[in-house]
Amino acid sequence: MFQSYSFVGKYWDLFLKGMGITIELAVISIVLGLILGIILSLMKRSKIKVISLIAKMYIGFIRDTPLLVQIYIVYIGLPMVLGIDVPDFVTGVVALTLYSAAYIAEIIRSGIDSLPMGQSEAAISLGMSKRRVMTDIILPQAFKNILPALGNQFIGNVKDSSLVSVLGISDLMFSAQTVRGSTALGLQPMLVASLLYLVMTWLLNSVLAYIERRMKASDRVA
Amino acid sequence: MIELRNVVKKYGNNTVLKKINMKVHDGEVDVIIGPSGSGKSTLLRQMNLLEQPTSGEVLVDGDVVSGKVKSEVTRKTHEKIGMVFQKFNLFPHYTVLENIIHAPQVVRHESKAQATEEALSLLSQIGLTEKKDSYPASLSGGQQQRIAIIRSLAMHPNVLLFDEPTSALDPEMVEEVLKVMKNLAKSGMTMVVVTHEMGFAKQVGDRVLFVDDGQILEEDTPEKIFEHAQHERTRDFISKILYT
Repeated sequence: MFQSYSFVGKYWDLFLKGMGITIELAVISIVLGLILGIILSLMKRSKIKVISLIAKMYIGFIRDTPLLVQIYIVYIGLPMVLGIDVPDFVTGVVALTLYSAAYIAEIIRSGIDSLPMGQSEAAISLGMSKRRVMTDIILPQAFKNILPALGNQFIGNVKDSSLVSVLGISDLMFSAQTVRGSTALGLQPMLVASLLYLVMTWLLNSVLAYIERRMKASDRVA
Repeated sequence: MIELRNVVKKYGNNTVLKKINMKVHDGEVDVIIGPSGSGKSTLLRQMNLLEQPTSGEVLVDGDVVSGKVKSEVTRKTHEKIGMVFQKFNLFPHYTVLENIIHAPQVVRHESKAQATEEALSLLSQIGLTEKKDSYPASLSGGQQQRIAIIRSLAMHPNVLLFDEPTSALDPEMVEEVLKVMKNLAKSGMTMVVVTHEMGFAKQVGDRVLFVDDGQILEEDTPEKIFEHAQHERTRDFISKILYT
């Protein structure tokens, strides 16, 4: 039965190239999504009602509509707004970033809310500015608490990136489809793709577990 | 130094403070006592603007600092008035030393060397020099609270507020924290202390304020309050605290 997997040798390059694109999509959208997510979570906490309302509506829209619909909205809408041709890869990155940022914002909010009030009160009482309290005291602790949830979201980015193959971006999913088309094999290319997705998420998990262990240093009773 | 004028604090329909008027004088140790839920912690939190009064005003060194003021005025007030909390509130992601030197560095713009030198001197005064690289989670409550006190001191505050500083401690650790506070009082630090430690109030208090139902019912020297309180409520409270 392993004969039916002989295509792997022939199309290995294609799979690897697709995996590379998937990694690029995931990494860029994780980094940008994290930045936008922090901004959104701070906007949501803003005392200025309009700003907090914008963030709330944005997060609500993203969380309550399907990612595939959002991908098409960006695909069609972004060139209209910018008035220029947008490369498909950029469309994919933008859609994934906008999507993950909303979830990351909610994760960060839960992390901030889970901290005891005493932490910010102590920092305020030492005369620290609001910005300092946030960057030095609240966010570092919140990040430690939300690392597992954030990790799940990052892994979500890797998996969700498969959806942008509908735009013709030659990611891993697209490569698997291409191989299916050229070999007339139904299941096997998809199984190979799953295996490669698993390798990526497993690697990401290991990195996250390592960071989590490092950040736990301050919990140790020395 | 700190003055509260007609301060009222409401949470919704619940009035926690009813027209409080009081002054905290330089170099004085004021001890606030009263039953739980009487508003004594809320009163303390008005003084450093952790909470804003619903009406009335807070003055520091003669200037109004409550209500609609520039955020820098509020921040400056926080810098001048230190606070020690019931639950210590050390920053768990910083070592003991980092807890102490962080604010002096980012708020007072002290150099790291300068801030560290002072932190080590403060640590040696409370006998915890060897804990400088430990994280708060590895310390006892008494150690954490002593460090929280010197963390506030490192900012050179004009006044130090204490919100039930020994209430979260195991009995055998209360004394080590009170000792640090007594030494501070002797050094002339202006202090406002919410506590149930009547021994402390008697020994170092210049004035004891009995708060009941959102009002300062009575204020006087510790001797007068403990021996000859004017109000039945005060006598009743003190006898319960002293003899149970």
